[in-house]
Amino acid sequence: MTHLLEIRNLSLRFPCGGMPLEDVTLTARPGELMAIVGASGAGKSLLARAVLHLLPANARMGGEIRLNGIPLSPATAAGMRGRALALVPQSVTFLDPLATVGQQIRWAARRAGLPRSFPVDQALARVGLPPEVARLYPGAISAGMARRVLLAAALAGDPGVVLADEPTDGLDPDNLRLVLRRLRALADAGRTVVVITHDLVTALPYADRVAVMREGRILAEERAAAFSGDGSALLSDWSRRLWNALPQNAFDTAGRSTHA
Amino acid sequence: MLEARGLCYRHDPRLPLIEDISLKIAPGEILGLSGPSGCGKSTLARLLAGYPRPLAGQVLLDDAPAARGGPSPIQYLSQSPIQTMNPRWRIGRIIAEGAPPDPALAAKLGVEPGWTTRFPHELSGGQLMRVALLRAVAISPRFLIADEISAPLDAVAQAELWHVLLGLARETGIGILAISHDEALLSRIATRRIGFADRMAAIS
Repeated sequence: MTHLLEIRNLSLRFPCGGMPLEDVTLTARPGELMAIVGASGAGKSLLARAVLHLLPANARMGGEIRLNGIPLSPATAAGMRGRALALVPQSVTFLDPLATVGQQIRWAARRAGLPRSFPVDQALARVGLPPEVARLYPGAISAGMARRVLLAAALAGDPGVVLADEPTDGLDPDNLRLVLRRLRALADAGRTVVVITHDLVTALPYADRVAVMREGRILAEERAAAFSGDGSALLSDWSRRLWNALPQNAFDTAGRSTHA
Repeated sequence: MLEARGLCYRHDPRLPLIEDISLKIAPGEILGLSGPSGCGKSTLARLLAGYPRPLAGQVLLDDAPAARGGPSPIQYLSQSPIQTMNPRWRIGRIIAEGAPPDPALAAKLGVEPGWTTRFPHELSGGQLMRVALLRAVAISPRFLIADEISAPLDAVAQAELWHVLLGLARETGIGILAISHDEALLSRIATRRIGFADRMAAIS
């Protein structure tokens, strides 16, 4: 099993307009952590949901998504979710408020075909949470803890491909490092890891490659190491502008962008 | 001068969130405020803008309580601008709620004329932030309370927006409270900084 994820010419339309994806082509490889960076509204979350076929019924999807060379249909994707392919959702509202944390991780393990004896405390420990958290309801834990519970649930079935949507949002620096190190360790163990984030600087030390997304398109694919110095090793102008506009770099706008 | 004197506030009666906090922002000053999630930054920001009344203490504008009614000279910019907009209003009406905006300023902030006929849900988070900012500065406020305003923007849009605001602070003397998690951003834009390590009650 090699966990190769290929997205080919993916496009998305909604009848009402909405924020579509246009001609997105990306390959996420085993052993690699790819960061997809972009501002809010760039289409990052929509892309993740499209890969897992978790879209509203009125979405019109074009192009193709392949896992290990096999095209994913809504039916095959449904069978693979949580096993071959897992999403760590962005919103902590994905947790069921009426079930304990431990119960929800056990559900995730059951969906992935694991036995009832699945060790919930170990799954929690791997995301830095103490075993007592298993007994709590989502309303009793902080947003940062909830985010790590979502990660533990997504990883329960040891998926080959992990898509994490803003996994560090709202985390303090220690927990942020813990989560990114965990995702990096998965890549080092041969899994395919895609991290969706608006925060290039935070993801950079953990990423091998960076796909820069804007207004539903992938504008550039860069080596993470190219984001250094004056950015002269970057392939695209937009990546260079992003890099130079960071407050820790030149804070330079270098021309106008009229879109957010 | 915008001054907070001995502000106290709590959402939960057993849990003081803001306890005896005092601070001053001078015209043209950009005060950077940082602290961990949940320490009360946004609550302090809303108190300064006069949204909830403090349980104790007061907010003074030039040594007098800020007047109520009409567009406030202390404008609050929320980190989720869509929650500050009437979903049934078009963007053009939203922008002009306080005063008609200056087209040159609209262009500088990157607010496109084509947006005016759209509804809030048809714009992205970053676009809505620019709309909210234009609406706030259109009334020529004395102070802006900017609560994580560049978080939904990409780095280029963030730098553009702050260059416009820094220019406004220099030219018109608007004072700004800039709240952000981004240390690098605050060291770039702030003329003075305060940080909170824990709940604002715990350190006062």
